This record gives sequence, C-alpha cells and structure tokens, in this order.
Amino acid sequence: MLRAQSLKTKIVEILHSGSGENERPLLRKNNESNIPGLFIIGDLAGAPVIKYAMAQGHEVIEHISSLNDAVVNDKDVFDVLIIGAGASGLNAALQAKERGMRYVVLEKNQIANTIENFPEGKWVYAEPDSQPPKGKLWLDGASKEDLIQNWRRIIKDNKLDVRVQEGVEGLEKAGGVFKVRTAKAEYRARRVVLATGQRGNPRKLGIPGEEREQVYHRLYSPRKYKNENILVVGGGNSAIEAAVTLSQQNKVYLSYRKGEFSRIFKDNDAQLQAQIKAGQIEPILNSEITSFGEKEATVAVADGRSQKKRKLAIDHAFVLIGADVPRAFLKSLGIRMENEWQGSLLRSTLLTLAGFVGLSVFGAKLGGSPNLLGWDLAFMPDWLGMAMAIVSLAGLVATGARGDRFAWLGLSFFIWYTIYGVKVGNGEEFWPFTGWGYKLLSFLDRPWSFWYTVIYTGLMTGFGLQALKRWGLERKDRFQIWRFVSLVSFQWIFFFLIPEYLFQAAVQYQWVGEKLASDPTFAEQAWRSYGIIYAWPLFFYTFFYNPHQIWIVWGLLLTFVVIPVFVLFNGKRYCSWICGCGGLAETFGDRWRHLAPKGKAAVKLEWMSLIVLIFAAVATVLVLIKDIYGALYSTADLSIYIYRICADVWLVGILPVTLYPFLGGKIWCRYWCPLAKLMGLQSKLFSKLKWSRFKIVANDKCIGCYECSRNCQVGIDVMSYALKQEVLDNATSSCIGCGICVTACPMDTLSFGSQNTMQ
Amino acid sequence: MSRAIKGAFLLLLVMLVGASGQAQDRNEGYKTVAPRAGERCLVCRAPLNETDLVLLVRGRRVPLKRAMVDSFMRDPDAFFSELQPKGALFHESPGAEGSEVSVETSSSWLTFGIYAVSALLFAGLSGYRAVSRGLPAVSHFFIGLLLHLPGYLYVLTRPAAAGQNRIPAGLGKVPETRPPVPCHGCGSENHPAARECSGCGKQLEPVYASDVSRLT
Ligand SMILES: Cc1cc2nc3c(=O)[nH]c(=O)nc-3n(C[C@H](O)[C@H](O)[C@H](O)COP(=O)(O)OP(=O)(O)OC[C@H]3O[C@@H](n4cnc5c(N)ncnc54)[C@H](O)[C@@H]3O)c2cc1C
Ligand code: SF4
Ligand code: SF4
Ligand SMILES: [Zn+2]
Ligand SMILES: [Zn+2]
Repeated sequence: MLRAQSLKTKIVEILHSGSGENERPLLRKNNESNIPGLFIIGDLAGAPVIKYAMAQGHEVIEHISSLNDAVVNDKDVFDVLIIGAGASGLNAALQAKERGMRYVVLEKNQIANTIENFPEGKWVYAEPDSQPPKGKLWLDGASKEDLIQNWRRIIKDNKLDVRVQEGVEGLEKAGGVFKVRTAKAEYRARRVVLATGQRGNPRKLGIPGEEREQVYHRLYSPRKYKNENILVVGGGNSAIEAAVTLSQQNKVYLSYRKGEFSRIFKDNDAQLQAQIKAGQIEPILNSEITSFGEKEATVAVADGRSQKKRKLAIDHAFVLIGADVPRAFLKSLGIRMENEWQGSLLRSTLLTLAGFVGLSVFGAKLGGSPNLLGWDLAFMPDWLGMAMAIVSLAGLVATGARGDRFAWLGLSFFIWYTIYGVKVGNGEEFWPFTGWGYKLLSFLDRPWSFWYTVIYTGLMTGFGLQALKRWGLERKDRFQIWRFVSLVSFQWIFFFLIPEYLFQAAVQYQWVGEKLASDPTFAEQAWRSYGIIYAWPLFFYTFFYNPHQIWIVWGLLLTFVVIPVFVLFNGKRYCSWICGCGGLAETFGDRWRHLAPKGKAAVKLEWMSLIVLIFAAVATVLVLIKDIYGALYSTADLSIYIYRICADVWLVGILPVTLYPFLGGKIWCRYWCPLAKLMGLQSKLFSKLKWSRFKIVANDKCIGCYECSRNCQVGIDVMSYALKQEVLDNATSSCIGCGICVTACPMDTLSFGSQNTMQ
Repeated sequence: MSRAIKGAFLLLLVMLVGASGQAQDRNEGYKTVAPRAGERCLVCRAPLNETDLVLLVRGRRVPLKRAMVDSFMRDPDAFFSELQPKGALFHESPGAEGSEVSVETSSSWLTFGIYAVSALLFAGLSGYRAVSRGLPAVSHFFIGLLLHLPGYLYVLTRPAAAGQNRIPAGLGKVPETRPPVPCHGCGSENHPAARECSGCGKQLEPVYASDVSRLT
C-alpha cells in the first residue's frame, strides 16, 4: 500500500511538472472560477502587465452586466464586490459604476499597493503598444509616482467606493449570495471579482526563528540602516537590489540556495559584482538558512556532498525569496487550480481497463477472440461486453466532470490507444482490437489509416485556425500568421494530398515522365512520398524494401544536405513550421502548451531521444546490410519490429498524444524524436562554431512576468535569458524557433536575430 | 469569432463525410523477376538460388522459394505486411485490402483539399495585410478564408486605418515605447532614439537604435 502511494506521488509529480510554482487558478469562460459567480482577474488570472489587467477588469464587468440579474435593487447585497484595488480591480470598479451596479472595492493595504512598492521613480511601461488601454483608468508610459497620482485623481473624481486597510479573510456562498469577511465587517454580494494580484504573499523559509522582530519579508526604507551586519536571503532581483542598496552603508551577507544567480537583470548583476569586489557584500552560495537566533543566523553551506554549519552575527535579516501564488488563500476560498491532480488513479485505471475488457468481449461478434492476458473470456455474451465498455467510459466522464483529473487521463488514453492500436494494421491490432478493430473502423470502404489521416488533418486545420487566431490575429503578429498557415498547409499538401492522391495522379497522367510512371517500383509505392518531407531517421523506410533510386538520392540529400543547411539558418524550425508531429502539437496541443514540463530536471531528460536516434541508426544499418550478411537477417527484422512498436506506435502516437492535455503537445518532439535530436546536435554545433544564424535576443525591458517561459512548449526558461539579456540559441537550449515567447512577451522584450540596443 | 471556427470545422466535417470516393480492387497477377544475390525467402527465410523467383508486389520485391509460392499466395497480406511501413505517422494507404484508389473516382477529396489549401493561403495573405494596415485582423482573415482570391482582392482595396496601429514596412510588430529622455538644453522630452531635440534642435546622443533601424 505504501509502495502504491509513493508510486502515485511520483506519477503526480511528473504530471504536475509543467506548472510548478506558477500554477494559476482554473478559469472558465469570462474568467469565472470553479465557483459560479466568482471571477478572477488581473495578475492572479495571468495578465502579466497593467494594460492586460485593466482590460480584464473592464471585460469582466461588461460580461457581468450583460447577465439578467446584474443590477438588482437590494440594499443589503452588492451587485458586485471587488477584492483588490490594483489596476484590474480599479478599472472594474469604474466600469461597474458606469453600468449602475452597486459595488464596493476592498483593499488590504493602500490603493495600487503593488505599484506603490515599485522602486522610487521606476518608469512604468504601457506595453503592449498594439492595444489601446480599455476602460476609464488612465495608462500611459509614466513614472510610478505620476501614475499613482493620476489614479488617485480618477478615484476622487469618480467618487469610487474603495475601502483601504480592509483585507478579505474569508468568503462563503450560500443561497446564491456571497458572504465576504474582513477584519472589520461582513459584506454580502451576488458576484465577487477577485483581483488581488500575486505580489502580496511573500514566500517564507519556514524555519525556527523566522517570526522574530528583526527578520523581514519585505524591504522598507533601506537607507534607515547604517553600519549594521545584515543578512539578505534570496537570489532574485528584489534580493539583489536590496543587497546592493543596503551594502552602501552596511556589511551584507547574501545567502542563496543555488550555485549561481540565474534570473537577475543584467544591471543588477553588474552592481552586485562591483559590491562583492568592494567587499561590501559577501555572497554565500549553495546555502540554506536553518534558523534565526537573537543576534545571529545559522546557515548550512553545501560543501561537495556534505554540509558545513556556519553562524553569522547579524542585526537584521531580509528574506526576499519571491512571492507565492496565494494558494492557501485561494484554497480556503474553495478555488481550484488549473493543474490540480486530485481523484483516484486506481479507480480510473480500473475503469479504463474494464472498458477495454468490455470491448474485447464485444469483439467476439466481429471475429475477435475475447481474452484478458490470454485468459479466455468467450463465456461472456457480447452485449455484456458492450454494456461494460459503455458503463466504464460513462464512469470516466462522470468522475472527470466532478474534478477527477485521472479520469480524463484514462479517457484520453482510451481514445488514443484505440486510434493508434488499431492503426498498426489489419490483423495486427493491439489487444483488445486484434482481428476486428481495423475492419470495424474502415468506414465507407476506406481503410482506417485513411480516416486517421483525415482526422489528423481535420484536427490540425480546426485547431490550427484557433491557434492562428490566438497568436497571429489577436496579437497582430505576422510571424505567427505565416507559421500556422505553413504548418497546416504542409499537412494538407505533403501528408494528405500527395500521398493519398497527387502521387497517383502524377503516375496516372505521367507528370513524372513515362519511364517513372511505368516502373512499378516507383509507381506502386505512393507511401514513399511521405519521404519528401520526413527525413531519416524519422522516416527511415525511405531506404528500406527496395526503393526506387530516386528516393534513395532524395533521402540522402534531404538528411545530409537540405536539413543541415536549413538548420544553419533556422535552427530547429523544421519542428515548428513543417513537421506533422510538431504541427499537431502546435495546433491541437496549443491550448495546453503552458503545461510543458519545466525546470532543470525536465531539461535533463532530453537525453532520451539520443537513445532513439542511436537505435534508429543501428536498425537502419542492420536492415541495409542484412542481404550481405545473412546471419544478421533475424536481428535486423527484430530491430525493425521493436522500433515499430516502441517508437513508431507508443512513443510517437499513444503516449504523447494521450498526454497532450496534461503535459503539453511536445513530449514526443522534445524527448523522443530522433530527427529533432539530430537537428538539435547539428544546431548546437553550428551555434558553438558561431555559424548559426539562429538566436533569440532580449532588450532591457523584461519585468520578469514569466509569460515567455510559461508558454514555451519545450519548457525553456526563456525568462532567465531575458532578464540577463543573454542570447538564447541551440548551444544552450533545445529551442525550436516557434517564436511564441517573442509573441507572448507583453513588453516586446524578445526578438529573433540581432541585438537591438546600442549600448 | 469562435463561431466562425466552429462553422469552418463543421463545413470540413460535412465535406469529409459527404465526399467518399469508391475504392477498387486491384488484380492479383504479380509480375516475376529474377532473384538477386543475398535475397532470402519472405516465408521461410532460406537464401534464394537461380531457380527461385521474386514477385513484384505493390512495387516491392517479394523473394520466394519455389516451394513457398503457394504458402505466400494463400495469405499474401500477412507475409507482405513485413514489407510495409507501419506507425503512427505514416502508412501505406489504402493498405488494408490491398486496393488502390483511382484518381478519377476520388476527385471530390482532391478538390476539397486544394480548396482548403488555397483558402488558407488567401486567408494568411489577408490576415497579414490587415495586421500591416491596422485593420481588424480576425474578420479580414476569415474574409480571405471563405472568399479566396476575391476576398483577398477586397482586403487589398481597404484603406489603412488611421493612427498608431499601423506597422511600418518591414517591422514585425508595432514599435515599442521607451521612457523619453529629457534634453539637457531645454528639458523637453524626446524619444530615446532621437538624434536631435524636438524642442530646441540640439544634437542628442541616441540611447537606443530605433526599431526601424534594427531591421537593417
Ligand atoms: C518589478 C515589477 C515591474 C513591473 N513593471 C511593469 C511595467 O513597467 N508595466 C506594466 O504594465 N506592468 C508592470 N508590472 C506588472 C504589474 O505590476 C501587474 O501586471 C499589475 O500590477 C497587475 O495588476 P492587478 O490589479 O492584477 O494586481 P495588483 O496590482 O497586484 O493589485 C492587487 C491589489 O490587491 C490587494 N490585495 C491583495 N490581497 C488582498 C486581500 N486579501 N484583500 C484585499 N485586497 C488584497 C493588494 O494589496 C493590491 O493592492 C511589473 C511588475 C513587477 C513586479
Ligand atoms: S524559446 Fe521561444 S521560440 Fe524557442 S521553443 Fe520556446 S517559445 Fe519557441
Ligand atoms: S521576456 Fe519573458 S518574463 Fe520578461 S517581460 Fe517578456 S514575457 Fe515577461
Ligand atoms: Zn521459403
Ligand atoms: Zn532641447
């Protein structure tokens, strides 16, 4: 039982790895949370900049005011209660007033607390320029002080009801009315808009002594401290800025748990290095504070494998290790997060299995032999099998709808295992479809493989248009318009029209010349036209089963000349502009792109595709020489068989597509595709030799909003490059050049190609 | 607009279901050719000699010992399956029944496919144009998608929107804002890429390259 429990923990850890610390609340249409009537907007809902936060505030009220019971004359109950007086909350309040709703804004600290906490004189950008601000709150590029002054004036002019120093502590819904509790009062409202941002929840170390008076979790008036010993804990920008400022009049220890400062602004880094050189800051890397005492702190410093304890004499300590999504607060309100793995893994496994067993029994009717792991099930009537399958699937859907994420995983597996398990071939289908699945799914006299291509192309077209709208049209990004047009067109032309039709037409009407058209080796093998685009080793069949010379020549040219040249100029853009596997991920998988596994561990696992590449290479060699060395015959056959089942069915089909809604669309491309690995290795080499034309650069405007990293489907921490204005290329990452980070960045920080500042 | 997407999707589905060309059986008489050195029988794996034969099945060589020809012919698909690519990505289509689609009978599929690709192309062109000229991108994209060339021609005739939404030629996005820089002479605020003050005309040291110049 314990083993099973820890196995489940492991599985959940993997499934959850895409979200990590940056998980957002689960949101439905119009930013409604899982609690009907409770809306979440602004920073908390993922709006990375003021302009987007404002837009959400405006839109959510427009939506609410369009509902039937938006405005009810009830003195005891507010039409809408807004929590948080930041950009989004204030704009929502202005709009609610405009629409004649009864509203109130509750603010924990002061108006626009987040922006008040920006460093003095900070320039606040009004990005992105492509969109005008929405609503009545003012926004333009301005200093922090000017911005806030403007906002205060607007609040006064509009007589907005904002109650400061009134943090919300709890909330319940009963009989369609929310009861909202603060330290001072209780409010009743029919709808609640939560606009509390993410910055108000400083992360804690959770160690003894942390609650002592001299330990702070925010930096207030740094100039007040003089000739003290001060400990700063943390390695982000706020910690570095604090350390640098404090070190001008004090001696500062800077403790950080990692070995380097990887996510800090270039400027901050320079100042930090200067202060270290001047002896004002002593960095203590790879260290963890273990406790705070009266006038000291204990720190454990990693030293190889062991740890050394060290006591620091200090007057004050600042723990500045970032802010958490206020998960506990959200939970206490009953709000669900977007990637929350709750439910029963066991139940959903059993239901899925029962569904397949049911189908196996049902298959007897169509010529299958019903069994479970060889155990004969022929004694069961086929209607019972069908009933079992239907009940199991209904069970998955029902538990899924009630919030069991494992149930959706089971259902997803059920669907894609069926699709790919049957596609293996007539008579070769996986259990439970063996002997009947292929025929059953070959509708209208067309083989299942044909319908599969139709479904694939249909999914790519439908969802491709949606993704194109999301990234290209709505964000006015021409690069993305072309990218999605390219992906979908390549699918239609090269993976559907040519292999299914145009190849035959070319033969029939002799567009390829009479000689080729009448050579059966060429003419009767339309499937080889997949090899026009799919290169070795993704499609090593180009070289197998006595191909026409034309295919051999093209295959060699494609793999060893065309692709390397393409890589030289475009990096791995094959994956994001051309390839069908990548294409499905970018289109059908687009809505789940933020779930891609992230972090160092996830990146490390990318070695797996090297194994696939080596295996593919070995199999290729074996097959090509088996006619010369007869002894290798069965080894060659076996290697192809293994590759077919493991790589071409499980790794490229069943597993990754099942995982689309849970780990994003790029599991195959990133972890297993041998062609991606081959291109990655080439691009890495070209980058190291400085031949490569491919890179992403950043200017100095990054605000650390995480949008770029969140949306990278291959899990690259783009933000850590952007903050330091480092070049991102294939020497240090497996970037596929999709440009989504460039498009997603609300600050126009990133761009392909040349560095755009002149300093 | 998501309705438009749903509509397009529905259209696609209707066409996919409606258009169903008929598959044809292909005949069974296989051509025979002479064996090559090293080839082995597909049924029993024994090396061939001159007296054995190789069938040409769907463009591939099927080496067979004479004694095994009958076994092969009893269930050619089963043995031949070994010479077919199989996987999630590609397949021999339409492989199942060993049938071959003739081009004439399936022209509806082909026509639809070509229609879809050209729709995409004109939609892309229209969307691109709309974005460049500050026009509503989504609606113009769908005009191109549904009306093809005429739609695109229509989009081409639209005048550009007034104001700052336009993107200068060659630039990927609208230009970015940066904090203005005050002039040392007169104090008026200037664009950080400016080379001279807009207030007094004094020479300025540009802090950034402008977005337009970074293209070149
Ligand atoms: C260093 C930095 C630089 C940035 N620079 C820029 C920039 O230049 N341009 C730009 O556009 N954006 C910038 N941003 C992002 C910008 O700050 C946010 O996008 C924006 O503030 C989000 O607004 P909001 O209304 O969602 O949340 P916030 O502005 O965070 O407001 C939330 C409010 O809710 C209050 N609150 C919290 N909990 C409670 C509770 N329980 N009860 C009642 N009230 C509560 C808080 O006190 C706060 O006032 C920057 C962010 C950072 C951290
Ligand atoms: S780093 Fe950017 S361009 Fe590269 S793969 Fe990630 S999102 Fe795409
Ligand atoms: S580079 Fe990334 S983290 Fe920085 S502002 Fe842009 S999207 Fe946000
Ligand atoms: Zn034989
Ligand atoms: Zn001047």
